[in-house]
Amino acid sequence: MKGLRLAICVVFAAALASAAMAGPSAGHQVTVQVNAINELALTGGNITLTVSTATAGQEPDSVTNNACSLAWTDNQANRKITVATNLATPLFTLKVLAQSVTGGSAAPEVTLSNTAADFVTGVSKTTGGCTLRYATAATAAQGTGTDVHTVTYTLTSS
Amino acid sequence: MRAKSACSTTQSQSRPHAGPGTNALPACGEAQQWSQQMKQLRALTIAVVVCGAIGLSHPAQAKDITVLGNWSLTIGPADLVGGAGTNLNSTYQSDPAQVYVTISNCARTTEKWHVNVKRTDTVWDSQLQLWVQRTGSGVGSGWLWGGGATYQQVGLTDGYFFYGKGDLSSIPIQLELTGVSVSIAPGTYSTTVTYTLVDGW
Repeated sequence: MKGLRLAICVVFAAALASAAMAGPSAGHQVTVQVNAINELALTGGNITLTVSTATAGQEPDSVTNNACSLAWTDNQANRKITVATNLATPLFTLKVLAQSVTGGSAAPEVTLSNTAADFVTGVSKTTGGCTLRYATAATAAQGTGTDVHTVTYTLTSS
Repeated sequence: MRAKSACSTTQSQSRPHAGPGTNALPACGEAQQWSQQMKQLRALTIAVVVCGAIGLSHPAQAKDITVLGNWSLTIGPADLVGGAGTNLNSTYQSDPAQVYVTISNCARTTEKWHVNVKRTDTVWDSQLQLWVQRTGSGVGSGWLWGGGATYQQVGLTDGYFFYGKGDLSSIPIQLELTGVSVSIAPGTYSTTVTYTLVDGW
């Protein structure tokens, strides 16, 4: 009799439990793949800096240009932007400085060489941009001539 | 008490050739056993009826829900709003009928049900938000009564999605992902969206 009572209780409990259970369910996957994004864009085109004026008794006047700007988007951490020129032995000094930087920190003004130098640091999962301030100077002793630089900016790991 | 009175009656009728006294106790014992069996049978019958009633009042055990489809999304440089210097588009939508939900095996066309929805993350970024909406009513002998016609966020716990009656197949579901930006590291993020069929509205 006890056994039967127990069986009845078990059946009853099972019925109640099944009645209280959540209903059937089914599912599907949602997969989002985020690829690495390291985009850098230069606007302003080709520029020319011409040293052509001087004050008597002094070296020729330096020339600056702020016509170009750089913009970037990077979804990776610990990135930086470097700058280099393709010209191994320029006649005249050409310098560049990042101004009004967002999405990173400006490095000190860079004297361009064909070795990459830090230009903007601290780029990390962000959008950003800056104005490029080129400056060149020539001494009277350097005479005349033309340097043609291809300046390359690279977004890379820091 | 009824069993005892039956015992004395049954003794004389079912055992007419039994000697006086010698078979009285066994005969009475059989009657008691029979009586107990009857009690047990009655109790068992009651239990079966009660369980059956419970089962009938919760017919969802027979209903079923199936889901067809998945959603895979790849986000890359082409998804920048305006190229370098701009952020990623924050919102992405699937096809209007990316996933189909089917309700089947309802006992009758008037059987009420509703569907809950939730997600279970495998790898997920807390900035990402997933939304679902129903873009149609499906086909079949049932009716989709309402709910889910606008995007609602899919959380980690069940949220009421839509409700209806009877069997319906191919209820189209559209998904939406929001909160995307370059602050989300490259990688693969996945979650399982679960639709649960529940009795009633």
